[in-house]
Amino acid sequence: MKITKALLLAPVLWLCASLLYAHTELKQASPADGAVLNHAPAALVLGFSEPVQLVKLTMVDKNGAVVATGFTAAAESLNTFTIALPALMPAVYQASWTIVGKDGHRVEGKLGFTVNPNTTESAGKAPAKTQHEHH
Amino acid sequence: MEIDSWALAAVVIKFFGLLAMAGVVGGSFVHLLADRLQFSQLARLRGYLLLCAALGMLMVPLSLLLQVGGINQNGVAGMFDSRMAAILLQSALGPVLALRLTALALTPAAVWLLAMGETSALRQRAGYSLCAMLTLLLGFSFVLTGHTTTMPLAVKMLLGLHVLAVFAWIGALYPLLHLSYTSQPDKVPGLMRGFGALALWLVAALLLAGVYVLTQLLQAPQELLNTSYGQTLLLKLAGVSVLLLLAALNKLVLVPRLLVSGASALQASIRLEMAVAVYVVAVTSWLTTVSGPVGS
Repeated sequence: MKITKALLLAPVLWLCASLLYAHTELKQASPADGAVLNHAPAALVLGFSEPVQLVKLTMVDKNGAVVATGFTAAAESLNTFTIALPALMPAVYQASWTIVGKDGHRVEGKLGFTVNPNTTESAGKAPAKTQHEHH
Repeated sequence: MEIDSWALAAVVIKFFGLLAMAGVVGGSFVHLLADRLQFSQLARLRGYLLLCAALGMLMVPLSLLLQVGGINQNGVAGMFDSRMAAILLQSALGPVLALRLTALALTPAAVWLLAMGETSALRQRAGYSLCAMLTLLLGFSFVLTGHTTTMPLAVKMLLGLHVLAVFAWIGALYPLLHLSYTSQPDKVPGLMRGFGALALWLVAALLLAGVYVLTQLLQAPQELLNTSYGQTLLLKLAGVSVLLLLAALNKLVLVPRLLVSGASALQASIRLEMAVAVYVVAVTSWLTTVSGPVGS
């Protein structure tokens, strides 16, 4: 009888359930995705919703040429990562990152920004939902 | 999201890994039941346990190699990046793999004790205690990873219970089918009744824990229809419903008729149950590898 009651209660719990589940995601980035900057940024800053391992970061320009950054993968879990950037020429750049969250799942994301000294600066947008691969 | 070949390979590895772990848990469970009824095929059951443990021991390291390869995106060579593997082993993945490997590596020791147990009650008890311990280790490994990691302890424990109940059920199907072909047919009804009585608790634990964890993973019931995670979950629930119907048919109709009508109808039903269980494990592998609840 207890089991029957619990089974009947389950859908009610479900309807009342608040959001307890939240997956690791990018909370803030500098430069932000879509930002247009007059000056080349000295660093790329990625801030996540919980401590994560940043296991991969690659950056390319609009021609696909790889930009050498100061990134090296490390086991340390942090909320915020600051990756030194070389002197960037005016161009469109895309950074791709892969993290491993507290739950052991792999999460990937991308952000793009433009360096152009001859245009109006734009702050870009808030981080979008990330791609998620669980393993 | 884009599904690459690494993710697909991870689904396959997870599928076989889950089946192997289920085999170890369910096989131990049936060994205990059959031992009490003094079945003569216990050695074959122990062979099944060893086979499942060996398969699991192969799948666990492969899952790490695939994770490394998926990050590096550099072909097969990218799988063997020891530095990346070392980094990943310091995430939640490390303790999970360690627990699973420990449990699977202990299986041969449990099998040896069970074999020796035919002549020594002490070794027999030690064998079953070891089986219980490695079952708990496998269940606990699921508490440390996945979508429920950030949830309260009670939810994580329920997930562990859910996994163990599923493993005990589906991992028991092949051994039960095998034992139904015994040269001691008078013992089969007792075995099936024993399994049926315990299965009742397994099903209750499985459903309660499963439904509760689901309420925590989904923000609203509509997500079952509106998201790909919810739709895949419905496919799994459909399979689970068929399994429950078959289990009810076995317990209420086919097992009581065993001595009158023979075992062939029950054997056909168990075979069908095994096929549906394989489908459920396949969907679960997909669900927990390339799909995720909203917000993921």
